[in-house]
Amino acid sequence: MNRLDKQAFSGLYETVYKDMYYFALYMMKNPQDAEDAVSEAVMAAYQNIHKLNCAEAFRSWIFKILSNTCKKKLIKRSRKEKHETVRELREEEASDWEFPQENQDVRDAWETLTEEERHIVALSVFGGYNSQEIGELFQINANTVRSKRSRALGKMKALLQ
Amino acid sequence: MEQQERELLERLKQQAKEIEVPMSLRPGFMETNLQKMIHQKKRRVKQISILAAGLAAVIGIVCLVGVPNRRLEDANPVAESIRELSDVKMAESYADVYAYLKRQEKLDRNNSSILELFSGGGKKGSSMEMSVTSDGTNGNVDEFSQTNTRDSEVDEADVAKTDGRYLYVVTDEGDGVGVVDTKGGKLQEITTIKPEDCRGISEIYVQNERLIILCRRSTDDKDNIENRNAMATVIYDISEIDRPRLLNTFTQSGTYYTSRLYGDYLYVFSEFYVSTVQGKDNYEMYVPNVEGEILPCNRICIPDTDRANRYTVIVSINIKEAKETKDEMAILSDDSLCYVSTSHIYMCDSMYNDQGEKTTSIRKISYQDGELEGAAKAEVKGYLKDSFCLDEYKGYLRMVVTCSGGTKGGYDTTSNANTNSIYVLDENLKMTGEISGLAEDERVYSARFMGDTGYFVTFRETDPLFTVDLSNPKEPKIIGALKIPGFSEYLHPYGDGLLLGIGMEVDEKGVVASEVKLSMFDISDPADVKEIDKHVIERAYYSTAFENYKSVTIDAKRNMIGFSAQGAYQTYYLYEYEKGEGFTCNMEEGVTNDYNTRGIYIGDMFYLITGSYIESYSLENYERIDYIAI
Repeated sequence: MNRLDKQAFSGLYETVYKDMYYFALYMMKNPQDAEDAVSEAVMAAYQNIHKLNCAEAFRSWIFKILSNTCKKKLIKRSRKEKHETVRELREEEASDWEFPQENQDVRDAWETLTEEERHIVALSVFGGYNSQEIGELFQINANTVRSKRSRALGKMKALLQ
Repeated sequence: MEQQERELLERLKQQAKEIEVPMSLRPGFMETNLQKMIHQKKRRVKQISILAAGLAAVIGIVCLVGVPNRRLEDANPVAESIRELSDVKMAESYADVYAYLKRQEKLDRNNSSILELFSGGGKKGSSMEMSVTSDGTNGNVDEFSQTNTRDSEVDEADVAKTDGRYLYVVTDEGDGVGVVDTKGGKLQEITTIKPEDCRGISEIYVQNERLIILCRRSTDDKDNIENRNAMATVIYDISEIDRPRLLNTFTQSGTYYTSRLYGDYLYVFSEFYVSTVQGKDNYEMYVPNVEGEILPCNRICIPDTDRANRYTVIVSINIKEAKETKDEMAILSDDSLCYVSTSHIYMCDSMYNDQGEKTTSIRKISYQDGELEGAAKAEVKGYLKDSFCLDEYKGYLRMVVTCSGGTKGGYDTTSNANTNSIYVLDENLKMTGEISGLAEDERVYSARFMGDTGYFVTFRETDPLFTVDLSNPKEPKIIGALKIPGFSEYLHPYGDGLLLGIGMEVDEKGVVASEVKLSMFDISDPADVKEIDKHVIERAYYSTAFENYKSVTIDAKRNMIGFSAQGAYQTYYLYEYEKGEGFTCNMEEGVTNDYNTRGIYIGDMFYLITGSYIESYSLENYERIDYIAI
């Protein structure tokens, strides 16, 4: 079996790192957390690159790792925030994510999505996943993914008009 | 996808391009960074920061015998923490169910923001937090390992299983179960079993010449609107391993949630979400079905709460015969935690009462020989951290909960301090004894009930390990409290008089959880528990053991503690423990996906399984013998 080595890693990483960061940022809604998530995912991927069979699968493989890393971090963050009140939580989330000024409306619309919706949309946009692949990752039906994504995008669209 | 949706996705993509990617992640820097991170001695402290005041490191033993207990005789105070409810309520007609869901839908619209917060933004992981009970005190050394389960007598499904010779492993693609022969330590793929119309395998069982596959069905989309019969339980006869024989496929609504196997009966739990309700007569749309038929209304259990947007569908199947489903029940619920003892299923929903305090609604269902019957229900104050926080023993249900103080009201949104409580409920879920007001401002991190004694860890700055004497159900008593820095997130009995804790160390200031810690407690005198050894894993700051007990392999008789932890790397660790010598690390292997990594032993071999990638190690010298990718 043809496995990849660590030398190939850098080249492959170059093709995906921007999208990885965008994905993490849209998921975590905080630049520091996003940076940490990408670093961790890259470390895990780097160390295990020999377990990947072909370069073509790299993107989807590393996004799977990143997606899990973000999810884990979000769980940890929510555990930490369990005791904070609704208002504090909202303020904190709102304050630490800076978007280029002119795109504020998109960010506001993004804020209305639930964590699951953010995850699905971000995987579609940055991970290049289709509904089938997202379904497999989440272990839900591809139809359900599509309807959840439509609902999420519908919500955003309404706000952006 | 609609044109408009595509445009919006494209817009998101374009706008993101204006965002600057941090220097540290750019390709040129990443390579140096990777090296640096590997050698970095101490990671920047940024992990699970625990908001805590003051300094830690008070090591002392506090004995709390004589904490004022509320007894049954003081009737009134007890009534405060439990709301006794009538019988488990089954629907009398589909109209009942319809009316409930309609009401729910309306509430949903009115309260969407609050609901979103309270439901925690989605599912809490379909592989619920629960765990194991092998007490490791009797019997011989096992030849091979079993999945670490919440109750040692009740089996649970997992992503990898063994029958002592073959490994059965869910492939990375989730479309099949690879069967690998381990004879002589060599790994040889025998076959991959791929059920038809089945994809996204969640978990499997291997027991009594049966392979049971729990998966998502891939059916014609038209036939499967809203997950109506989306999940399948596929049973194979594997008495001849090279010729697996399909016995039957059972379907039910929703997506797989969890399952249990006890005796000859399998209990499959799925979650079925009802997104919209259109038309009372359109039963198919809002009533779950099993084997293609919608459930009779009297098998649908309606909650007392107003917030329930999904069913937990429970189906029982005799796996020996594998002919037809034995029984079925659907429970309307919100976000259930499920605990299964050897005689009952407990479905616990976390809710809020009018004062904004968290409460737990418990529905108890008996399941003898596959027959599901509502037995009792109750609502108590406080919430459960995981399924280890409740435990059935000699007919009594013992619980340890954290009570959030609720908000102070008006414009003051700050919360009152948390406290923790112990409850003992009888078989009708009536409160018989209670201790409340424990460990103010802290919350429960882990718990383990062992016979008449219960242990639980709360945390703020130090880790009090409380010991509670439950021998008299009317008068639970705190008999010991050990304070040490850090906290345990998972407790596991480790042979005679020992209790293992896997948790986190805190830094010198007691403020930030820093690194994964193993603790060994001497519990031979429950009233005087001591931490006799501890070990900190440098640079590891999270362990899968905290969330998923099935991921650990702990066996006192084999002297083996296996689990994965995450630092810069995701790593699987295998430790042994000797009194006087402490913990010794025998293996430290990098893995791709620590959540799905499993360690299984057979005889003198240890198998490390990460999806389709399997490695074998000798347990004599811990050297790698072989590997295979299936």
